[in-house]
Amino acid sequence: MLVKTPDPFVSIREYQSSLKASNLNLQQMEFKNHATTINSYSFEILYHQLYVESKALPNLSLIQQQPEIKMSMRPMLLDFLMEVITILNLSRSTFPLTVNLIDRYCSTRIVKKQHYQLLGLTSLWIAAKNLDQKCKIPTLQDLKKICLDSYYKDLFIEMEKHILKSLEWNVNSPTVDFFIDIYMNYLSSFELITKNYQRIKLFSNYIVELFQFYPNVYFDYTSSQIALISILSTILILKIPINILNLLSYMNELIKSKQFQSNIIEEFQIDEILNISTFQNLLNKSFFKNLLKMIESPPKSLEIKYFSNSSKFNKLMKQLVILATESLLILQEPIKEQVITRTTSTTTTTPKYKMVGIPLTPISNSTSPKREINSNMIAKGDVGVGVGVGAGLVTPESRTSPGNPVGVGRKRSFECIEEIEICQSLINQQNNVGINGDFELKRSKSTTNTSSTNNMFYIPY
Amino acid sequence: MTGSSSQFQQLEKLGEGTYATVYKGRNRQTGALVALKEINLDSEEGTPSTAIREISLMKELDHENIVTLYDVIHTENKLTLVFEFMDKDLKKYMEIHGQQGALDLKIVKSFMFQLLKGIMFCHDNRVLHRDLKPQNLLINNKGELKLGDFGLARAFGIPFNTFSNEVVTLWYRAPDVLLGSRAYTTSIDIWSAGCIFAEMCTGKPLFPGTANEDQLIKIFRLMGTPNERTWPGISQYTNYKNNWQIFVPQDLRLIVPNLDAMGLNLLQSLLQIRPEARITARQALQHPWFHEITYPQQYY
Repeated sequence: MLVKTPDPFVSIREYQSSLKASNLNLQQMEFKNHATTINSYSFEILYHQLYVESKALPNLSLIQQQPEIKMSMRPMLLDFLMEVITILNLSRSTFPLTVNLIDRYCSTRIVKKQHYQLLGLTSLWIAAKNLDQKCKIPTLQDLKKICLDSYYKDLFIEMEKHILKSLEWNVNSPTVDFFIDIYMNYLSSFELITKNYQRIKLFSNYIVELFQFYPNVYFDYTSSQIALISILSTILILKIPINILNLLSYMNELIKSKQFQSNIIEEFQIDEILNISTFQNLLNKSFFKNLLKMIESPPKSLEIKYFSNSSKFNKLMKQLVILATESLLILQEPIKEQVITRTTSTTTTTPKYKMVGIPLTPISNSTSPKREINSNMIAKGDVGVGVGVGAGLVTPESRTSPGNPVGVGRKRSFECIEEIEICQSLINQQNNVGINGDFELKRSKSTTNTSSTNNMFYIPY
Repeated sequence: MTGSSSQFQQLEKLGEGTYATVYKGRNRQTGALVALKEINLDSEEGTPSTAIREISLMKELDHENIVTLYDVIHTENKLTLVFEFMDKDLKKYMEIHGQQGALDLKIVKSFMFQLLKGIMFCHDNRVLHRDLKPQNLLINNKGELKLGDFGLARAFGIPFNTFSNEVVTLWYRAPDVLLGSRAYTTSIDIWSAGCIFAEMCTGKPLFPGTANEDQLIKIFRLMGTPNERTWPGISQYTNYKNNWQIFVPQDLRLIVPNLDAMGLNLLQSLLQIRPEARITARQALQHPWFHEITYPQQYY
């Protein structure tokens, strides 16, 4: 698919790095050293990153005003870009940064339909230049080939200039995987997390990547929040017996600590990463139901990245998905209490703790002391919610799209999944081109035609 | 960020960097002096990755000890970065104001303090400078020192990807990087700071090596040849050799005779051969040698 880079030393460098990579001991030693060094800077780094993030947020309602770009086109573009990134073996952060650049550009400039893919590839180019080793950055020739010569080289150069200018060169915003790393670093003071470190990290990165395909979740929260949501969800569905609300308040306590707060400047105040009640409200039945859907049928690119035979994650990921599916099936089960509350006012908050309580059932039986701790937590949360909802952080409500009805205390959850589904079938009909079924949410619907699907992304609309 | 190049009058050339040329410039409207860093754009490469990194990082770094980036002017075939103007770099400053290059200890202390503050701010913001040397430290006529040229700087993660080990000008390159480390951390900037510290005191570069191997030997000659016992794991580095000549650590006082005991202690902590033993910028700023600056009331 790609031309080899003209750099004759690539193989030498690759050899050296593989040599280094095979030397686990040394690498561990160096990482350990890095981790300890970083510890003395971790609060400053976290604060600064939250600050930079706050200045680089996309704006959903502006994106939705794009005359030609429809929300349903976004996942297709991202799928294509993710595949390119996997093939080029670029860094993990490159994808989320690319997504951030695309969305932010779409929040400031009108993009023509036929230029959407150009925007995507150029954003990828900028992200790679920012984050990847020189030898891995695609050349202009590569880019041209990737989109099957849809665009002239000059267009990439021009687009790059446009993006950099429009975003005022703020093209280094912290990515969601960065936040996962920094949180995991904090959370590794819990033994159970350290024990499952790799599994949690891998799976939360997977969930985070999935989230980015779904505008409704992605735009409702900041990257720093999504990272935390996915770590906590992962801990829950991988049945690691730790109360996730405890973990959340632990993280929020860190932010409230003197040491963290001493960095704060007037321009950017923060006292928690994710509001506990916001999180409790999120974790409802439909969240788990949709998470299950997402995990069961990932976009094609993620399937290649994680589940193809060439993927190094293949085995572990398959195990994790089975585990996750199992617990999500239980979590999404309708529960009596829940049905009752559904019919009552949406503003009632009490039942929601019950739902949060549900996650622990597969983990421990009612005799376990863990269970008791959990119910304590729930009781504590009870006090907080009445006052806490909507206070503090930018709540999703404030960023909801105009089209969506917003009830008090009601969260937009995953309704958009349905929307995507509908849009996709429409596009299917219109274009008369088979879209890869992996994108649809139900496998049963998926088309068998995969050969023509590959071209789908290459043809400018 | 909406400047055009005609806004500035280009004056004399100030220097040639790794991928750019720097000119002195004057704002035609205000008459204010600026430094113009011109980067030629390649039609195949687009905007160089170095420029993207340098600009996006510098826009984040707003600190009194880091040179301010005022504006970016993007034209057809040229990218011009408009920086605040600084009178000279530390190297020139030492040539002009030093006694055969060696600076007065009071000035050394002030510069070291500002250098470490700038480094700390970078590290706080998860940025590695990776090219600290006297030529990249800029001094203005108020005696302020600022870090410049972030062309090699990188943001690091927790943990991070491995990096290239072709960073930092040889003389200021840390031994772990020379040994082939690619997973280095903030400590590489600290090593450079140590080398600069000694150079300001003596007027001469501390380790003027000619090549990778020679650079290591020069370091060992002063700091002692490390081995598995003094540096567990060292034999795993790609450039490790078991037939290095064995040197014993020298007393730094012999090399930097004019520095007081407290200063020598700080220098020693900056120049630890093992990266994990090297002091951090934050710790260094609290070193008693700086109490004169940090707690001035005690000294009056």
